[in-house]
Amino acid sequence: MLTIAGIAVAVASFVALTGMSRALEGGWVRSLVERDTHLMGLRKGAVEILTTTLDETLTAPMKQVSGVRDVAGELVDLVTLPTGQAVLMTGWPAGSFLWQTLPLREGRVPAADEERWVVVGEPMADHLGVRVGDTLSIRGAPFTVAAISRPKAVLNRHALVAPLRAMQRLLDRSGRVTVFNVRVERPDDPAAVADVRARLSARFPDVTFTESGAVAQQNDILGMLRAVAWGTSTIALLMGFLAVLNTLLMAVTERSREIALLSAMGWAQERVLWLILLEGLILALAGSGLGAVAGIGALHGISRHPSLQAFLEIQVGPALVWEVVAAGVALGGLGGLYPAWRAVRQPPAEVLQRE
Amino acid sequence: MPAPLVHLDGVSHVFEAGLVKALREVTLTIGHRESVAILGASGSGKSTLLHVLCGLLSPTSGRVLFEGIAPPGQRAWARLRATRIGFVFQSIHLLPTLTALENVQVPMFGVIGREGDRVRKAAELLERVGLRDRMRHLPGQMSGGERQRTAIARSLANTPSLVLADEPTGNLDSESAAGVLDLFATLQAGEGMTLVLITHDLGVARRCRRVVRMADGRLMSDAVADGATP
Repeated sequence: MLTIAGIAVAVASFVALTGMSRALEGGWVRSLVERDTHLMGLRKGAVEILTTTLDETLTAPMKQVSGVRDVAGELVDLVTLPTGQAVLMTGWPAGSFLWQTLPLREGRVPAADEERWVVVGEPMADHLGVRVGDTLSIRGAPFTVAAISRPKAVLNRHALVAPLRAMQRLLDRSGRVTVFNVRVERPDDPAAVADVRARLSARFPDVTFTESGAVAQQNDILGMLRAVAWGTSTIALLMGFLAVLNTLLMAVTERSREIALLSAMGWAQERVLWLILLEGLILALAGSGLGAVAGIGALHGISRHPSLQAFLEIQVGPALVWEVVAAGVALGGLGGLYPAWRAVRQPPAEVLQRE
Repeated sequence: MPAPLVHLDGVSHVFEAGLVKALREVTLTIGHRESVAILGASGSGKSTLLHVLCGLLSPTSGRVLFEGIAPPGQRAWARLRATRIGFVFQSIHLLPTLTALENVQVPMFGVIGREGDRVRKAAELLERVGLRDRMRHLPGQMSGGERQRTAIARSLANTPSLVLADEPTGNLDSESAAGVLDLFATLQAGEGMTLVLITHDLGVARRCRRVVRMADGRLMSDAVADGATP
């Protein structure tokens, strides 16, 4: 039972850590998909994208590139709400296609001249207790709630959206944007999307254009988080492997008589080997099953934390299940291999005579 | 003329790089349906002989023929032990977490495919050794005599031609020991198998038709016992 518990802790750590990094990536990608962004333009070489900016006036020449349907600059930053919760606040150009992707529960999109107006995501509005027409203090500036939005993606659901001009004034970044959202003419044709990306990259060498599905994967900070998650998970899995190895080695030593007996009764070495391996696999799979349940539970618990709920989009898919099963098989198989080899190497006659 | 069941031809076996000579050029022929007692003091080499007879130990020199053929390796010996050779040990060696019925089935894995057939045969064997009412008992819930009877039933699991018994009564009281020897005699006569029994007790050895005496790894004598029962 202790071995199963050890494996469960290792696998739960694996599920929680890698699940968290994926939830972060998934949240970003799904927010882009929801707003129908096909390519994203970021400052070349930027590691932390929120602190870098691009010239807003690049919007017009980008629209001229063949295959581009529309472009909208976006200024993004983290802001702290009066409740202490950190959320993303984003500024969209008045009249841009981005506003059309925002499903509203109530209220309306701010007009071009309504600068100090903001659209609040539904869970945020509920959390803050604000309604359309109420005033919300953001970085000391009063904003009127123009609408309550109801997007599906977690990142969009927890975001504040204001007109770009208001956002630039708030951050003192006049004429600057953080990213460009690019829509292409033929988004379902990967070759066409790649062609547009190549043309944009050639025309704007200071901007890196990334397909929205890959944007999270190519982000350096998320890459670092991913590496930390994998590193920590690997250590946890190594501990699980040692637990299986230790248990099976003890079992083989304690049961040397039984193993010799099986050999004496004609059990082939392969059968004895499989018996030990099977025991390891059963231990590891039982531990992995428990660990997966505990890890998913922990992941959901973590995602409810006020400082993280705006960014994590938990999705437990077949890939995670397969990885847990693979981890279980690897733990059991590798952990059982040496003890099994030891078991079949011991001379049965010697053991039986000793007894 | 059919080949003898087992033939040892000048078999020697040494341990610890030749420091211990357990068997010294032993030549021995054991025929079908025989009952043979290997009699000797502790350290005489009788257990080593038993292990060489069933391929658990490979001779350092000489050869072992089973029905006229030298099994080519451990895999072939394992197959023979699984299908043609049964084992009974002094320390009984039942698996403690399995019931008597399950213990008897252990040698059948890989030989009898269907679980129903295994259970049926194990039950028949336990009934034959007088343990009909103890089938669902764990070894810890049985007496020494009952455990040894279970081990005897297990040795017959795959209807062997040869049953090797290493001091089968060594850990039993005299009443249980007598019962076990009676059972061996009955089964050996009924099944037509060959029984090779190792003992240091002359009284036990005399229950076999043939008594082979060993000392210092050598065969000292080979004779038909007086008053042998099987």
